[in-house]
Amino acid sequence: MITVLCIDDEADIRQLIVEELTDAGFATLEAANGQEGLEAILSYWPDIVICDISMPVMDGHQLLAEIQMNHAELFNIPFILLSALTDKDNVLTGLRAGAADYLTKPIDFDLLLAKLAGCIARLENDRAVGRAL
Amino acid sequence: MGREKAVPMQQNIRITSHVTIVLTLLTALTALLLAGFMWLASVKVDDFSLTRQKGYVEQGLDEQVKAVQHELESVTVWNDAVLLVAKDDHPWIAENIGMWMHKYFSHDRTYVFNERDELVFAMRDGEDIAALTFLGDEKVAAALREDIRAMLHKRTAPGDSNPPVLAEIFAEKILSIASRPAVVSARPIVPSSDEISLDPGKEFITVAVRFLDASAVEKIARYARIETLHFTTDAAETTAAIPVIATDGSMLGYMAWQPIRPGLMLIEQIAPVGIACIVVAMGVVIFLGRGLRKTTLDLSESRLALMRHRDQLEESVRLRTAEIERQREELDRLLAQERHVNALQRQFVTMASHEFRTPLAIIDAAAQRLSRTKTTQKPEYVEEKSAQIRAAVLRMVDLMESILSAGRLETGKTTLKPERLSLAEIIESCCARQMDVRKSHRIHRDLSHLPQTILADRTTIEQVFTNLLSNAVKYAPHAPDIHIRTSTKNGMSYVSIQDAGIGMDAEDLPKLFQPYYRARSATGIAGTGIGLNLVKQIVDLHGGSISVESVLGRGTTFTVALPNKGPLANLIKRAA
Repeated sequence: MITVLCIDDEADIRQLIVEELTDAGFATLEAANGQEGLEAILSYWPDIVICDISMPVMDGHQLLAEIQMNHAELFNIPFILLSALTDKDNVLTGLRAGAADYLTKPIDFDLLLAKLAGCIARLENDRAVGRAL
Repeated sequence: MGREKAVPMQQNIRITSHVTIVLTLLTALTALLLAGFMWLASVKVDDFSLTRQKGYVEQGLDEQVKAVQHELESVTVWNDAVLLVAKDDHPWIAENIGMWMHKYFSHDRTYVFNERDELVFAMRDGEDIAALTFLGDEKVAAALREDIRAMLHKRTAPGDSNPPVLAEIFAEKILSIASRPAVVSARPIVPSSDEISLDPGKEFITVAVRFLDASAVEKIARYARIETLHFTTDAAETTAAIPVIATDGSMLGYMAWQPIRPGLMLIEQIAPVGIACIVVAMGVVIFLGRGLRKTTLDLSESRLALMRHRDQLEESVRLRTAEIERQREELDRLLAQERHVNALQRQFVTMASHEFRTPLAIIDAAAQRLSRTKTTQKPEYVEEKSAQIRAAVLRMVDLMESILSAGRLETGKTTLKPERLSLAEIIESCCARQMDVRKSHRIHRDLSHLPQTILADRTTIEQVFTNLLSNAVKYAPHAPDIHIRTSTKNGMSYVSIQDAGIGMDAEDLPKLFQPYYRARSATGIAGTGIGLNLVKQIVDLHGGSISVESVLGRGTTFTVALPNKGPLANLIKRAA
């Protein structure tokens, strides 16, 4: 079962995403900011992370930078940034920092699920290749 | 600069005064020297003149004495006289010897002795003395007569190799007669030519007395041109005097006079002119000195004026430069401010978009969820999603209100509609709404210290507390307790809202109420930066105030003060 960590400071949004992912058959984890998210990642090693950008304590960009800098072992986990910030700067910053994708709010669940599916396919392919090697 | 500049002028004045004093002293010294020289010259001239006067008087006296011989000669060496005295022609003698001597030669007394030395004629002061008496001069007359006789005798006596010439026999004495100086002279009456002969021993002798203190003095005075000449025996008057010495060498007295002092006279004549000249010279010097002083003062003044002008120029250049610099800085500041505002506005647009998108995302996601689960959903689920949607809509409305209010405030279109309202009620409802939206936080409130009602604008006051409460919640994600405390003091209602959230750096506090400004600690937390600015503007409009205390990492307390009697005074002020 694929585990997805959802990091968002908006409880409603988090709840809605988790409901949708649960319905889609994912196991889900929740975190309210980057700091909690990092702790969850280190504790549970989720397969995919869906992360908001604007959050207190530690935002999405900071979390990505932290992983890139200090937790290289986590860098393989696909990061899907999901933000209400739609400007190009934020998109570019996120993608350059290693995000697998950048989705904007309002959320189109179909689109999100499709992205997740793509990520999973890649993950499974990687794992299959890894096993074959 | 003022003080140091006064010094050269004072120096100049001092120098000028000095010059004036020196010039005056020099003039005075010159005048003194000149006067001294004049005095010396006059003394010398006077001395010289006195010597001359003495010479003239001496010579005059000498000539008066010498003349006696010739005067006597004119009446004694005369053929007629020999003949007529022998005949004892008294009238003739009186006329031609006595009166002659008296009238033409000013002799005072004339005596004629016959061959037997008897006095045959006597005349005193032009008066024939029939009594033939002497007046204290018989001794000298006798002595001189004897001298003449001796000389006459000598001619006839044998053995004398150098006998005196008859016509030149003469005896003379200067002596005092009755305390008067006198020249007494004697001559024999002898023929003036060979036409007649006179036997030796038959000669008559004429003796004449001339006083030197009478007509002689007048003659000497005329000769020497000394009007004040007189005879005196007083030795005290010897300044201008020559001695009159008797034939025997004794002192008879003095020819004295008031010395003529041309030097002194000259000085007397020119002294007023000299003094006037000196005074004028001094005056001129002083005048010139004053002129110099004035010129120096003028120079100093103009130099000072120049210096002042220079200083003023420097000052104005400096001021102008400073002004330009200030303007440049102002422009830089304005530009920086403009850039900052632009950046803030860009950030605002971004953040506003984000802030709208977040509730939109909730609404959209909830709607999607409802749509996707329409076959399996329970009524509670629909209820929950509806609530989420409504909360999100409310959030959007609040946000929109905030932005619109900010816009209205910025363009000055906001008008307050003050009414009697209960602050406690408004805060209570704001808390209820906030807790409805954010169930994570608890708001502890004590609203008992507020007045029953205050005069305020309901809509904007609601915005104030909504904003402050939402901030307290937003910036204290891990500190669920929020405290509201109230108090009333001096006609003002105080409401403080305290959170234990992320807090702010002290440097952020002064700028906190500027539009679009967001504290650095707010990084990562969505916000437009208009809320606090809006709050401040509303509170200001109400004539109240807002203050903030914050410690980074410890939390923030905002305190709002609102006047109980409303914003009326403030509004009036604004209208004016």
